[in-house]
Amino acid sequence: MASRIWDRRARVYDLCEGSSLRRGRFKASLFRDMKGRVLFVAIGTGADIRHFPPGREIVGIDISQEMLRRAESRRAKYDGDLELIEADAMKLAFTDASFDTVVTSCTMCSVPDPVRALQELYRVLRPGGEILMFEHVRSRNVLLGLALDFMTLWTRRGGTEMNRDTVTNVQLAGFRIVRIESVYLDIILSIHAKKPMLA
Amino acid sequence: MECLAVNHPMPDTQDSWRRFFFSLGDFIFFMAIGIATTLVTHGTHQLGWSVWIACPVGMVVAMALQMLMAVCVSPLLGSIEAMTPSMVLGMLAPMPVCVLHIMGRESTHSAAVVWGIAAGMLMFAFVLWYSTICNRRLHRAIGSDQHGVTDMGPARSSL
Repeated sequence: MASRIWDRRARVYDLCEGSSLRRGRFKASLFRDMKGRVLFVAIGTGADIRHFPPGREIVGIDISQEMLRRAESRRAKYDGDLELIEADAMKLAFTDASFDTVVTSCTMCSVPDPVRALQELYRVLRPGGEILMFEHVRSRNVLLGLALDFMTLWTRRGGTEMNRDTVTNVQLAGFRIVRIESVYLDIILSIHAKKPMLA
Repeated sequence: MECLAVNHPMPDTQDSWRRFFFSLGDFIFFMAIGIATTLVTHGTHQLGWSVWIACPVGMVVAMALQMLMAVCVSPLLGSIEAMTPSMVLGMLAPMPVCVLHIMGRESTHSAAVVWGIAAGMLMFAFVLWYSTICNRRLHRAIGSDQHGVTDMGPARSSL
């Protein structure tokens, strides 16, 4: 079901991701912290690949085959080792602690159960490994928060929730927040969190 | 306690210009939204309908126009960055036109434009102010032992 929604959205995905002009440098700054073997969750049509630092070993996953098909040309241009795999973030086939860094980019708004997905990412991340997240969340401001709630009424149909509390969800999954940067007010955040060493 | 403030390097000239142009873009966009939504609401109040029909119809048309405009500027200003504040603006800016009508008075065409500009400027000021508030929250969170999350709000804002 979810994969079908995203297969359909693949056609207009790049248009929605046009915000890269404003957010690109923040993404590039976040992705610079990719270390070791990297899992990039929900890579979509590969719009973020241009912000990847060169020479990394990255596994990019997405639930939609159509997204991955469109990402292929961008993958080919990446100056590093980038593999694309069709997978569901809530049910990964990777073994425990098999990645050094996990990266998400506007992912937690779209998974049906964000805490479960984060727990799965926690499982595949090695102890001491870092999760880097570029996510939009519900604003704590009453007016902006209500606007995001209102938007969710129709974005939900396309599989996107605009009003999630991703920072709390990250903690609920067991991660420890290291730092949060604001990309736009308290709505778009760049989150660094770690899996504790003694997990 | 592992919450850290981010020591960003000082923004270079290109960064400052980039920030300036996005701020300018927001400013112009908010004013355009303010003008468009108040004018369209003013227009519906000129149709001679009952105030209780003109108000909701005007608001709905204003919101539709706001969304259309936000979608158009999204590739340049960012989808969430354009849509979220402009939605609040699109809801609030036309309200004085309705209130005047309910009170039995009509706004003029030029008064609607002036109010639209003022509302756009107010929204821009609000975004600037809230950006500062977000910064303060982060600084307060540093030194707390809750990893700065509970009352964190975000850190440094780019607007």
